[in-house]
Amino acid sequence: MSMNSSWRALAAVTLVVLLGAGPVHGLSEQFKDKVYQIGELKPVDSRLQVKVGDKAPDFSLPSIGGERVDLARYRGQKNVVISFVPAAWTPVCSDQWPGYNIVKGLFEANDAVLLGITVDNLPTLFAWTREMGGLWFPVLSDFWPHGQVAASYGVLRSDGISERALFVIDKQGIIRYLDVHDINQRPDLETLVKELEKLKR
Amino acid sequence: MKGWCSIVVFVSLLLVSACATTAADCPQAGQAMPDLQLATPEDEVQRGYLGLAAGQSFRLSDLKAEILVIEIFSMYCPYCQREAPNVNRFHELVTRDSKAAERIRIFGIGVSNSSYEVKVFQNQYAIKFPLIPDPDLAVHDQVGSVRTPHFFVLKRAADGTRQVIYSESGGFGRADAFLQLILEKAGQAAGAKP
Repeated sequence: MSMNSSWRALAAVTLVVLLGAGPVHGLSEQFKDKVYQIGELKPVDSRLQVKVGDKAPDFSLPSIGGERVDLARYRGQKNVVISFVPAAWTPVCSDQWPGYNIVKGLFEANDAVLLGITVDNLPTLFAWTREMGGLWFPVLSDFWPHGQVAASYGVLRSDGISERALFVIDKQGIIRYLDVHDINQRPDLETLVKELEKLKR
Repeated sequence: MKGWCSIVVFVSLLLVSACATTAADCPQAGQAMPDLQLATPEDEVQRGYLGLAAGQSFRLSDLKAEILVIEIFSMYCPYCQREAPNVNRFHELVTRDSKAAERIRIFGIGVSNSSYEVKVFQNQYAIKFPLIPDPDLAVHDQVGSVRTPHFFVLKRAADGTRQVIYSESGGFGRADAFLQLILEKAGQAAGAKP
Protein backbone atom coordinates (compact mmCIF):
# COMPACT_ATOMS: atom_id res chain seq x y z
CA MET A 1 0.00 0.00 0.00
CA SER A 2 1.45 3.34 -0.99
CA MET A 3 1.77 6.19 1.46
CA ASN A 4 -0.66 8.15 -0.66
CA SER A 5 -3.50 5.65 -0.41
CA SER A 6 -2.73 5.13 3.29
CA TRP A 7 -3.32 8.80 3.92
CA ARG A 8 -6.51 8.66 1.90
CA ALA A 9 -7.71 5.82 4.12
CA LEU A 10 -6.73 7.85 7.16
CA ALA A 11 -8.65 10.86 5.90
CA ALA A 12 -11.74 8.69 5.39
CA VAL A 13 -11.53 7.28 8.92
CA THR A 14 -11.02 10.77 10.34
CA LEU A 15 -14.13 11.97 8.55
CA VAL A 16 -16.22 9.08 9.87
CA VAL A 17 -15.05 9.73 13.43
CA LEU A 18 -15.73 13.45 13.19
CA LEU A 19 -19.18 12.97 11.63
CA GLY A 20 -20.09 10.53 14.35
CA ALA A 21 -19.54 13.24 16.95
CA GLY A 22 -23.22 13.50 17.78
CA PRO A 23 -26.18 15.80 17.25
CA VAL A 24 -25.68 19.51 16.74
CA HIS A 25 -29.10 20.52 18.01
CA GLY A 26 -31.66 19.52 20.61
CA LEU A 27 -34.66 17.45 19.64
CA SER A 28 -38.15 17.71 21.05
CA GLU A 29 -39.68 14.72 22.79
CA GLN A 30 -42.69 15.59 20.60
CA PHE A 31 -41.04 13.90 17.61
CA LYS A 32 -39.74 10.93 19.56
CA ASP A 33 -39.14 8.03 17.14
CA LYS A 34 -40.99 9.90 14.39
CA VAL A 35 -38.22 11.79 12.66
CA TYR A 36 -35.97 10.27 10.06
CA GLN A 37 -32.30 10.61 10.95
CA ILE A 38 -30.62 11.98 7.85
CA GLY A 39 -27.19 12.38 9.42
CA GLU A 40 -24.79 15.19 8.63
CA LEU A 41 -25.19 16.61 5.10
CA LYS A 42 -23.01 18.79 2.90
CA PRO A 43 -23.67 22.27 4.35
CA VAL A 44 -24.75 23.86 1.03
CA ASP A 45 -25.36 22.02 -2.25
CA SER A 46 -26.82 24.53 -4.72
CA ARG A 47 -26.03 27.81 -6.48
CA LEU A 48 -28.03 30.93 -5.68
CA GLN A 49 -29.95 32.39 -8.60
CA VAL A 50 -30.75 35.67 -6.79
CA LYS A 51 -28.91 38.23 -4.68
CA VAL A 52 -29.77 41.02 -2.28
CA GLY A 53 -31.26 43.90 -4.27
CA ASP A 54 -32.90 41.62 -6.87
CA LYS A 55 -36.63 41.39 -7.38
CA ALA A 56 -37.82 38.19 -5.68
CA PRO A 57 -38.99 35.58 -8.23
CA ASP A 58 -42.79 35.36 -8.19
CA PHE A 59 -44.53 32.12 -7.42
CA SER A 60 -47.94 30.64 -6.79
CA LEU A 61 -48.05 27.53 -4.61
CA PRO A 62 -50.74 25.44 -2.91
CA SER A 63 -50.87 25.67 0.88
CA ILE A 64 -52.00 23.16 3.49
CA GLY A 65 -54.85 25.57 4.28
CA GLY A 66 -56.29 24.74 0.84
CA GLU A 67 -55.76 28.08 -0.93
CA ARG A 68 -52.99 29.00 -3.35
CA VAL A 69 -50.59 31.66 -2.14
CA ASP A 70 -49.11 34.12 -4.64
CA LEU A 71 -46.09 36.12 -3.58
CA ALA A 72 -47.42 39.07 -5.60
CA ARG A 73 -50.41 39.45 -3.29
CA TYR A 74 -48.15 41.00 -0.63
CA ARG A 75 -46.69 43.64 -2.97
CA GLY A 76 -47.25 47.07 -1.46
CA GLN A 77 -48.86 45.44 1.60
CA LYS A 78 -46.44 43.39 3.69
CA ASN A 79 -42.83 42.45 4.06
CA VAL A 80 -42.39 38.73 3.45
CA VAL A 81 -40.08 36.22 5.07
CA ILE A 82 -39.70 32.96 3.14
CA SER A 83 -38.39 30.05 5.15
CA PHE A 84 -37.30 27.12 2.99
CA VAL A 85 -36.64 24.02 5.05
CA PRO A 86 -35.15 20.85 3.52
CA ALA A 87 -37.75 18.19 4.29
CA ALA A 88 -40.59 17.21 6.57
CA TRP A 89 -39.90 14.71 9.37
CA THR A 90 -36.20 15.51 9.63
CA PRO A 91 -34.49 16.58 12.86
CA VAL A 92 -33.48 20.23 12.49
CA CYS A 93 -36.53 21.17 10.37
CA SER A 94 -38.90 19.70 12.93
CA ASP A 95 -37.34 22.15 15.39
CA GLN A 96 -37.30 25.34 13.31
CA TRP A 97 -40.92 26.24 12.50
CA PRO A 98 -42.26 25.49 16.00
CA GLY A 99 -39.91 28.27 17.17
CA TYR A 100 -41.39 30.71 14.65
CA ASN A 101 -44.79 29.58 15.84
CA ILE A 102 -44.42 31.43 19.16
CA VAL A 103 -43.05 34.68 17.69
CA LYS A 104 -45.97 35.75 15.51
CA GLY A 105 -45.80 39.08 17.35
CA LEU A 106 -42.22 39.72 16.21
CA PHE A 107 -43.27 39.30 12.57
CA GLU A 108 -46.39 41.45 13.02
CA ALA A 109 -44.41 44.18 14.80
CA ASN A 110 -42.30 44.40 11.64
CA ASP A 111 -45.29 44.31 9.29
CA ALA A 112 -44.13 40.98 7.93
CA VAL A 113 -45.75 37.71 6.98
CA LEU A 114 -43.95 34.39 7.10
CA LEU A 115 -44.27 31.75 4.38
CA GLY A 116 -42.90 28.28 5.02
CA ILE A 117 -41.96 26.23 1.96
CA THR A 118 -40.70 22.70 1.45
CA VAL A 119 -40.60 20.37 -1.57
CA ASP A 120 -42.83 17.84 0.23
CA ASN A 121 -46.37 17.14 -0.93
CA LEU A 122 -49.40 18.60 0.85
CA PRO A 123 -50.54 15.48 2.76
CA THR A 124 -47.04 15.07 4.22
CA LEU A 125 -46.85 18.74 5.19
CA PHE A 126 -50.32 18.53 6.70
CA ALA A 127 -49.43 15.55 8.91
CA TRP A 128 -46.06 16.98 9.90
CA THR A 129 -47.32 20.42 10.90
CA ARG A 130 -50.21 18.82 12.80
CA GLU A 131 -47.58 17.04 14.86
CA MET A 132 -46.20 20.48 15.70
CA GLY A 133 -49.63 21.43 17.02
CA GLY A 134 -50.48 23.56 13.96
CA LEU A 135 -48.76 26.71 12.72
CA TRP A 136 -50.07 30.27 12.36
CA PHE A 137 -48.31 30.94 9.05
CA PRO A 138 -49.03 29.49 5.58
CA VAL A 139 -47.11 26.34 4.73
CA LEU A 140 -46.63 25.90 0.98
CA SER A 141 -45.82 22.84 -1.06
CA ASP A 142 -43.20 23.16 -3.80
CA PHE A 143 -43.73 19.51 -4.71
CA TRP A 144 -44.79 19.80 -8.35
CA PRO A 145 -43.22 20.67 -10.68
CA HIS A 146 -40.74 19.39 -8.19
CA GLY A 147 -38.81 22.14 -6.42
CA GLN A 148 -39.54 24.70 -9.13
CA VAL A 149 -39.72 27.65 -6.73
CA ALA A 150 -36.65 26.49 -4.79
CA ALA A 151 -34.80 26.18 -8.11
CA SER A 152 -35.84 29.69 -9.16
CA TYR A 153 -34.21 31.08 -6.00
CA GLY A 154 -31.26 28.73 -6.41
CA VAL A 155 -31.79 26.68 -3.26
CA LEU A 156 -32.69 23.27 -4.73
CA ARG A 157 -30.04 20.72 -3.81
CA SER A 158 -28.77 18.01 -6.12
CA ASP A 159 -30.78 15.32 -4.30
CA GLY A 160 -34.12 17.16 -4.73
CA ILE A 161 -34.55 18.63 -1.24
CA SER A 162 -34.10 22.34 -0.63
CA GLU A 163 -31.56 24.25 1.37
CA ARG A 164 -32.38 25.64 4.79
CA ALA A 165 -32.72 29.21 3.55
CA LEU A 166 -34.29 32.49 4.62
CA PHE A 167 -35.25 35.34 2.30
CA VAL A 168 -36.49 38.71 3.54
CA ILE A 169 -38.46 40.53 0.84
CA ASP A 170 -39.66 44.10 1.30
CA LYS A 171 -43.02 45.58 0.29
CA GLN A 172 -41.62 46.48 -3.13
CA GLY A 173 -40.81 42.83 -3.72
CA ILE A 174 -37.05 43.34 -3.42
CA ILE A 175 -34.83 40.81 -1.62
CA ARG A 176 -33.26 42.68 1.29
CA TYR A 177 -31.59 39.78 3.11
CA LEU A 178 -30.87 36.16 2.40
CA ASP A 179 -29.25 33.36 4.32
CA VAL A 180 -28.57 29.99 2.72
CA HIS A 181 -27.74 28.40 6.02
CA ASP A 182 -25.66 25.32 6.77
CA ILE A 183 -28.39 22.70 6.30
CA ASN A 184 -27.32 20.95 9.51
CA GLN A 185 -27.85 23.99 11.71
CA ARG A 186 -30.81 26.12 12.69
CA PRO A 187 -30.51 29.84 11.83
CA ASP A 188 -30.40 32.18 14.81
CA LEU A 189 -33.70 33.97 15.42
CA GLU A 190 -32.14 37.24 16.58
CA THR A 191 -30.34 37.73 13.26
CA LEU A 192 -33.61 37.38 11.34
CA VAL A 193 -35.50 39.76 13.64
CA LYS A 194 -32.73 42.39 13.34
CA GLU A 195 -32.94 42.17 9.55
CA LEU A 196 -36.70 42.69 9.73
CA GLU A 197 -36.24 45.69 11.99
CA LYS A 198 -33.88 47.23 9.42
CA LEU A 199 -36.78 47.42 6.93
CA LYS A 200 -38.47 50.06 9.08
CA ARG A 201 -35.65 52.54 8.66
CA MET B 1 4.50 -1.06 6.58
CA LYS B 2 5.92 1.79 8.61
CA GLY B 3 3.16 4.00 7.15
CA TRP B 4 0.50 1.56 8.31
CA CYS B 5 1.84 1.44 11.87
CA SER B 6 1.77 5.20 12.22
CA ILE B 7 -1.75 5.23 10.83
CA VAL B 8 -2.92 2.58 13.29
CA VAL B 9 -1.45 4.59 16.16
CA PHE B 10 -2.95 7.83 14.88
CA VAL B 11 -6.41 6.32 14.37
CA SER B 12 -6.32 4.71 17.82
CA LEU B 13 -5.51 8.07 19.38
CA LEU B 14 -8.29 9.65 17.35
CA LEU B 15 -10.82 7.06 18.49
CA VAL B 16 -9.80 7.48 22.13
CA SER B 17 -10.16 11.25 21.91
CA ALA B 18 -13.51 10.86 20.10
CA CYS B 19 -14.81 8.62 22.90
CA ALA B 20 -13.64 11.15 25.46
CA THR B 21 -15.65 13.90 23.81
CA THR B 22 -18.68 11.79 22.91
CA ALA B 23 -21.84 12.80 24.76
CA ALA B 24 -22.18 11.26 28.20
CA ASP B 25 -25.06 9.00 29.18
CA CYS B 26 -28.11 10.62 30.69
CA PRO B 27 -27.74 10.68 34.49
CA GLN B 28 -30.43 8.48 36.05
CA ALA B 29 -32.06 8.51 39.48
CA GLY B 30 -29.56 7.27 42.05
CA GLN B 31 -26.55 8.49 40.08
CA ALA B 32 -24.42 11.57 40.62
CA MET B 33 -24.98 14.64 38.43
CA PRO B 34 -21.92 16.12 36.72
CA ASP B 35 -20.97 19.45 38.29
CA LEU B 36 -22.28 21.41 35.30
CA GLN B 37 -20.83 24.81 34.47
CA LEU B 38 -23.55 27.25 33.45
CA ALA B 39 -23.80 30.88 32.36
CA THR B 40 -24.65 33.20 35.26
CA PRO B 41 -27.98 34.99 34.66
CA GLU B 42 -27.58 38.68 33.76
CA ASP B 43 -30.77 39.52 35.62
CA GLU B 44 -30.17 40.49 39.24
CA VAL B 45 -33.46 39.03 40.50
CA GLN B 46 -32.66 35.68 38.86
CA ARG B 47 -29.16 35.71 40.36
CA GLY B 48 -30.63 36.52 43.76
CA TYR B 49 -33.08 33.62 43.44
CA LEU B 50 -30.18 31.21 42.80
CA GLY B 51 -27.99 32.90 45.44
CA LEU B 52 -25.28 33.87 42.94
CA ALA B 53 -23.02 36.88 42.67
CA ALA B 54 -22.52 38.61 39.32
CA GLY B 55 -20.06 36.81 37.06
CA GLN B 56 -19.57 34.86 33.88
CA SER B 57 -20.45 31.38 35.00
CA PHE B 58 -21.23 29.20 37.98
CA ARG B 59 -21.24 25.52 38.83
CA LEU B 60 -24.02 23.41 40.32
CA SER B 61 -21.84 23.03 43.40
CA ASP B 62 -22.04 26.82 43.91
CA LEU B 63 -25.79 26.56 44.55
CA LYS B 64 -26.79 26.22 48.18
CA ALA B 65 -30.38 25.03 47.73
CA GLU B 66 -31.10 21.49 48.94
CA ILE B 67 -33.18 20.53 45.90
CA LEU B 68 -32.72 21.65 42.28
CA VAL B 69 -35.35 21.15 39.62
CA ILE B 70 -33.81 21.59 36.17
CA GLU B 71 -35.78 21.65 32.93
CA ILE B 72 -33.79 20.92 29.79
CA PHE B 73 -35.82 22.72 27.11
CA SER B 74 -35.66 24.57 23.80
CA MET B 75 -37.59 27.60 22.60
CA TYR B 76 -38.12 25.63 19.38
CA CYS B 77 -39.61 22.56 21.04
CA PRO B 78 -43.40 22.34 20.71
CA TYR B 79 -43.68 19.99 23.68
CA CYS B 80 -41.78 22.48 25.88
CA GLN B 81 -44.04 25.27 24.67
CA ARG B 82 -47.13 23.27 25.58
CA GLU B 83 -45.67 22.30 28.92
CA ALA B 84 -44.62 25.85 29.88
CA PRO B 85 -47.87 26.82 31.69
CA ASN B 86 -47.68 23.62 33.73
CA VAL B 87 -44.08 24.31 34.74
CA ASN B 88 -45.17 27.82 35.73
CA ARG B 89 -47.91 26.25 37.85
CA PHE B 90 -45.31 24.09 39.55
CA HIS B 91 -43.11 27.13 40.23
CA GLU B 92 -46.11 28.99 41.64
CA LEU B 93 -46.94 26.05 43.94
CA VAL B 94 -43.39 25.94 45.26
CA THR B 95 -43.32 29.72 45.75
CA ARG B 96 -46.56 29.66 47.75
CA ASP B 97 -45.36 26.89 50.07
CA SER B 98 -42.81 28.63 52.30
CA LYS B 99 -41.08 25.40 53.36
CA ALA B 100 -40.78 24.11 49.81
CA ALA B 101 -39.75 27.57 48.60
CA GLU B 102 -36.82 27.51 50.97
CA ARG B 103 -35.63 24.07 49.89
CA ILE B 104 -36.24 24.12 46.12
CA ARG B 105 -34.76 26.15 43.28
CA ILE B 106 -36.05 25.78 39.72
CA PHE B 107 -34.30 26.76 36.52
CA GLY B 108 -34.25 25.88 32.83
CA ILE B 109 -31.40 25.23 30.42
CA GLY B 110 -32.19 26.20 26.82
CA VAL B 111 -30.27 23.77 24.62
CA SER B 112 -29.06 25.10 21.29
CA ASN B 113 -30.73 28.41 22.24
CA SER B 114 -29.05 31.81 22.22
CA SER B 115 -29.69 34.18 25.12
CA TYR B 116 -32.09 36.07 22.80
CA GLU B 117 -34.04 32.86 22.10
CA VAL B 118 -34.19 32.00 25.79
CA LYS B 119 -35.57 35.49 26.51
CA VAL B 120 -38.22 35.05 23.81
CA PHE B 121 -39.38 31.89 25.58
CA GLN B 122 -39.24 33.60 28.98
CA ASN B 123 -41.38 36.54 27.81
CA GLN B 124 -43.78 34.46 25.75
CA TYR B 125 -44.79 32.32 28.72
CA ALA B 126 -44.14 34.89 31.50
CA ILE B 127 -41.69 32.50 33.16
CA LYS B 128 -40.48 33.76 36.54
CA PHE B 129 -37.65 31.30 37.23
CA PRO B 130 -34.22 31.63 35.55
CA LEU B 131 -33.61 30.28 32.04
CA ILE B 132 -30.00 29.75 31.05
CA PRO B 133 -28.84 29.45 27.43
CA ASP B 134 -26.68 26.54 26.25
CA PRO B 135 -26.01 27.75 22.68
CA ASP B 136 -23.22 25.32 21.81
CA LEU B 137 -24.79 22.30 23.58
CA ALA B 138 -21.87 22.04 26.01
CA VAL B 139 -24.27 21.30 28.89
CA HIS B 140 -26.60 19.17 26.76
CA ASP B 141 -23.69 16.87 25.86
CA GLN B 142 -22.93 16.30 29.54
CA VAL B 143 -26.46 15.18 30.36
CA GLY B 144 -26.79 12.59 27.62
CA SER B 145 -28.20 14.86 24.87
CA VAL B 146 -31.68 14.19 26.23
CA ARG B 147 -34.80 15.04 24.25
CA THR B 148 -36.72 18.10 25.36
CA PRO B 149 -38.30 18.71 27.72
CA HIS B 150 -36.38 16.64 30.25
CA PHE B 151 -36.64 17.19 33.98
CA PHE B 152 -33.87 16.48 36.44
CA VAL B 153 -34.39 16.77 40.17
CA LEU B 154 -31.19 16.83 42.19
CA LYS B 155 -30.61 16.59 45.90
CA ARG B 156 -27.57 17.99 47.60
CA ALA B 157 -25.60 15.30 49.45
CA ALA B 158 -23.66 15.98 52.66
CA ASP B 159 -20.40 16.29 50.70
CA GLY B 160 -21.92 18.92 48.39
CA THR B 161 -22.31 16.63 45.36
CA ARG B 162 -25.64 16.42 43.59
CA GLN B 163 -27.53 13.15 43.47
CA VAL B 164 -30.18 12.63 40.80
CA ILE B 165 -33.53 11.72 42.37
CA TYR B 166 -35.66 12.16 39.23
CA SER B 167 -34.70 12.07 35.53
CA GLU B 168 -37.46 11.82 32.91
CA SER B 169 -38.12 13.09 29.39
CA GLY B 170 -41.53 14.59 28.71
CA GLY B 171 -43.91 16.39 31.02
CA PHE B 172 -44.14 15.62 34.73
CA GLY B 173 -47.94 15.51 34.86
CA ARG B 174 -49.85 17.34 37.59
CA ALA B 175 -47.82 20.05 39.28
CA ASP B 176 -49.07 19.25 42.81
CA ALA B 177 -48.36 15.53 42.42
CA PHE B 178 -44.88 16.34 41.09
CA LEU B 179 -44.10 18.52 44.10
CA GLN B 180 -45.27 15.79 46.43
CA LEU B 181 -43.18 13.21 44.58
CA ILE B 182 -40.09 15.40 44.81
CA LEU B 183 -40.52 15.97 48.54
CA GLU B 184 -40.98 12.23 49.10
CA LYS B 185 -37.94 11.31 47.02
CA ALA B 186 -35.82 14.00 48.69
CA GLY B 187 -36.88 12.61 52.06
CA GLN B 188 -35.93 9.08 51.04
CA ALA B 189 -32.59 10.25 49.68
CA ALA B 190 -31.95 12.04 52.96
CA GLY B 191 -32.85 8.85 54.86
CA ALA B 192 -30.45 6.81 52.75
CA LYS B 193 -27.59 9.12 53.62
CA PRO B 194 -27.90 10.07 57.26
